[in-house]
Amino acid sequence: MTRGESRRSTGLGVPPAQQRRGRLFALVCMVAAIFPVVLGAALLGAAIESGAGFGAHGGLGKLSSVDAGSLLGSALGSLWLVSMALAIALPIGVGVALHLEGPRSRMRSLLALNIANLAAVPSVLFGLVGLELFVRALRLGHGMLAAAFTLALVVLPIVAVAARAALRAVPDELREGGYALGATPWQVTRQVVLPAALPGMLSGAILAIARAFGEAAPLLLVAGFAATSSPSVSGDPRQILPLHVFQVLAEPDGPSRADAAMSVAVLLGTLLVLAGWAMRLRHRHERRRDG
Amino acid sequence: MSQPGIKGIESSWSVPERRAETSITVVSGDDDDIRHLSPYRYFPSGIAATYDEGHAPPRGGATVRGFYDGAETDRGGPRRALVTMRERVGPSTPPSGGTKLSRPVRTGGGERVAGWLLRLCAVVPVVLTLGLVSMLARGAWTEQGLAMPPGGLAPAVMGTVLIAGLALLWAVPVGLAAAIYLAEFAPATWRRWLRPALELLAGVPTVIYALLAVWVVVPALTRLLPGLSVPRIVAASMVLALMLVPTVVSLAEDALRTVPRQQREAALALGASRLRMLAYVVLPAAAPGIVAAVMLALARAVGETMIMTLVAGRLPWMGLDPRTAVETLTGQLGAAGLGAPVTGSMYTAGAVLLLLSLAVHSVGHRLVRRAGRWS
Repeated sequence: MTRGESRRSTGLGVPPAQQRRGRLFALVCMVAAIFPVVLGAALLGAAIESGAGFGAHGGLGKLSSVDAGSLLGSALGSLWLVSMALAIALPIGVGVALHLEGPRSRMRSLLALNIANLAAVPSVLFGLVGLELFVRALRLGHGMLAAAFTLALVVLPIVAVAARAALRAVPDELREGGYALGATPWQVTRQVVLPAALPGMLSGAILAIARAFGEAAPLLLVAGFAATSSPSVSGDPRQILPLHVFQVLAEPDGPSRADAAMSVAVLLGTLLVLAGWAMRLRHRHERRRDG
Repeated sequence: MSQPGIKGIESSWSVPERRAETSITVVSGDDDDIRHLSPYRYFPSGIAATYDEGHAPPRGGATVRGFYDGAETDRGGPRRALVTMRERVGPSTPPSGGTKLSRPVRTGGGERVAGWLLRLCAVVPVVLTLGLVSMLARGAWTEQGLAMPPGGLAPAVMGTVLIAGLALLWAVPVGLAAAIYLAEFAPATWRRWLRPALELLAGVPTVIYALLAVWVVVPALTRLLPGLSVPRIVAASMVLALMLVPTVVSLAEDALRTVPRQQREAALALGASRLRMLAYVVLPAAAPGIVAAVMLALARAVGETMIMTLVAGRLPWMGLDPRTAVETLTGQLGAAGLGAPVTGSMYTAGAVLLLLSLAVHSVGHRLVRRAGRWS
């Protein structure tokens, strides 16, 4: 006897009209889940197409007009900036997370709240801080160094939150086992907790890198668009991928559309690689923990 | 409460492999007892274990199995730990009986340095917060009083609220429906692909979203609806919505998943259809979490700069038609990237922005924490 028959015979169960409504609702929900992904992909494709013009001119289209030198310069600038920012933010962020995982106290819970709030501060505001603190007070000028410090401020809360989550995922049994061996707290941290938390921290760090790569808002203030400053020794922060895109949109006689389209493509490609890497790390970590 | 102390230690020590296995059974009392029992090994969960008072582990490598009798602790139940640690210390000398240990634990200079370094790291966010607040306050305050842009801040606040609200109007229904799909209907494989895809959407740099709006959405809107006088505002809100959907989805899905299974099953057992179960049981139970998702998305929308500056903002080449552009708080700050000098009014806008986004965020944050406590 199938389920349908049994329902009809007993008169129990959900009436067919309601079942149909339920199926319709599920369908609507499914469309809602797929729609943004498809729309996003389509828009990105359309944007790159409209800039690079693959179809219109056949073959590579307008790509021949791309200023490869400036594109490479921006990509390298981005790489340089992000590595500096992460070199500053990662150790501090992990340190903050380690400190937060110490014995509970009122100070620590206040600090945790503070960091949660910092993570919610709009990133432009860090641009104002960077401008005031690094560019003006510390006299770093509108250079790459000031930009890197500013970017470090933006990603610091992200790194700290991710590192803390990774530390929390380490089972207490491991720590206690370490203490049972007579290890000092720092030995337990270094030899037991940090290695166990490493995959989680790494995927958090990758997310921070992805964020730092695309972040443009705080750099608008630090990069010195208004000031006609001489480029600093550490490099010109205006020469990075996101600001390259920004300049195309802000100034009609700036870099060409094809340039911007290629910058977008490079940014998206980097993002995709980073996200894929982070996801694989997370998967492997989860499987190992379950297995 | 039973007398704290070591209930029993069993040890085995195999010389060729240089491995020791020690089972320790410990009953813990209150903190003072534990401290008295073991000065160095002070367990986070309130359980202490010790080999022998104040002595170090056996030299060489060691594996310890600790069985803790945690009846007196908040965790409850016996606990086990199996850990391998390797220390590079001279040749191993197996302790007789496995419990007599030789070296006192050193908590030397390195330990203290590490502690201070961590404390130093922890100071950074505090300094950052204080710096943020003091700089905004100092920059906003000029000799004439609070610096204001011409026309005051009201248009900017209105513009921010308008665009963010419009974006939520798109993003919340779609995001909620998507969350319901992922939490209730989606097969595992679909979920495995859709979630990362949505997360990726959240990770797309906002400059690129601005570019999408300017290159694709605005032209498309003007072509589709030629009479529309505010394509830029609509385009900004639509692109912003696309950016916010993943935020709403992931938080709302978490909220839906925390609703206990028993409640769902109870509803189904009463003869409710899945739709009714959702409408009358699951959604009301998940409501705080869903509201929190909306609030956190709103906080993100309010602080979004690139879309506000480039799509909605008053760009110099966009003309002065008041219907095409709208002032926003972040747009005023982003104007620095368009060549505007950084003035006191930017700091005032920044201060208002900080207050607004923190207020919205803290409501959402509190709701998330309360929602987490549901089950």
